[in-house]
Amino acid sequence: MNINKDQRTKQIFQQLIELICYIIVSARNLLQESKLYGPLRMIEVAGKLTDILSCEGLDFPLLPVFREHIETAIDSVVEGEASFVANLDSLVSDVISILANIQKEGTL
Amino acid sequence: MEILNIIQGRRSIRRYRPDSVNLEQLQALVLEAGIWAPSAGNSQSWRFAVVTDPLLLHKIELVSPGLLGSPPALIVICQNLEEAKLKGGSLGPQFLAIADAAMAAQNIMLYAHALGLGTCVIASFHRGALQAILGLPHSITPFFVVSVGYPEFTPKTPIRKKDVIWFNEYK
Repeated sequence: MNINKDQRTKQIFQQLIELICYIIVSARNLLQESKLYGPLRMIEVAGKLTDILSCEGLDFPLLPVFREHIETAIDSVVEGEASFVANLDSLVSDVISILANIQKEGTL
Repeated sequence: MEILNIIQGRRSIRRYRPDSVNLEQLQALVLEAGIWAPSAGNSQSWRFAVVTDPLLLHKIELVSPGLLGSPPALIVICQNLEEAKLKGGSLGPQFLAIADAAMAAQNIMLYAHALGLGTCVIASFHRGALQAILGLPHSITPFFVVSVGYPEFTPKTPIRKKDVIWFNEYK
């Protein structure tokens, strides 16, 4: 689908506004939820942000794998805390790899 | 399917295929299973909103952090709390309404599993926001959201704790 720059800007705007809604509702709900759900929601938001980057063609080589690992971490929360923590640690390793690719500002 | 196979085979599905579920099946989940759950004092004060409209689904997802996997349909299990109070006294809205809604949810999920559908029950949503999105009157309160669709991924069966039962006096 061929869309112009204005439409893309509007789409990104809407996606980000929706993400803000999600974050605010999550913050409210987390007051009454399991402590594991705090990190879970943060990981879900990370997943949603990577989706927005991908949709806009702003992805980078490590992003698809990173997205897949985020999905695995989200799924693992129901397996228990140990599994979730292990998957979060794996995500931190991804982050370290991503950071290693940054040579200087704006060069990812 | 044997009843125990249905009970033990049901998993909470958090990733769905985009295929829609036909309306007759969704209606049957409520009318052939949900409303056949026990209801305290036979109050039947439950109400069921079946949501298939993509825009509504999207809006509900935004206020329901526990709702995962882009399901093509939702059954929002509500209670008419005024009716629950009328039938059950103060215990009605405080406790019985929740218990009834939960039992209806289980019936719906078991029947869905028998039909080859996946489900997941969630309580992680903002009640007021959901009421506003669905245009529910103040007296109709959502208690559970059950996602419904064809599973894309079925999680492995979690180990069940067995040391949860005793006979007679507490041991």
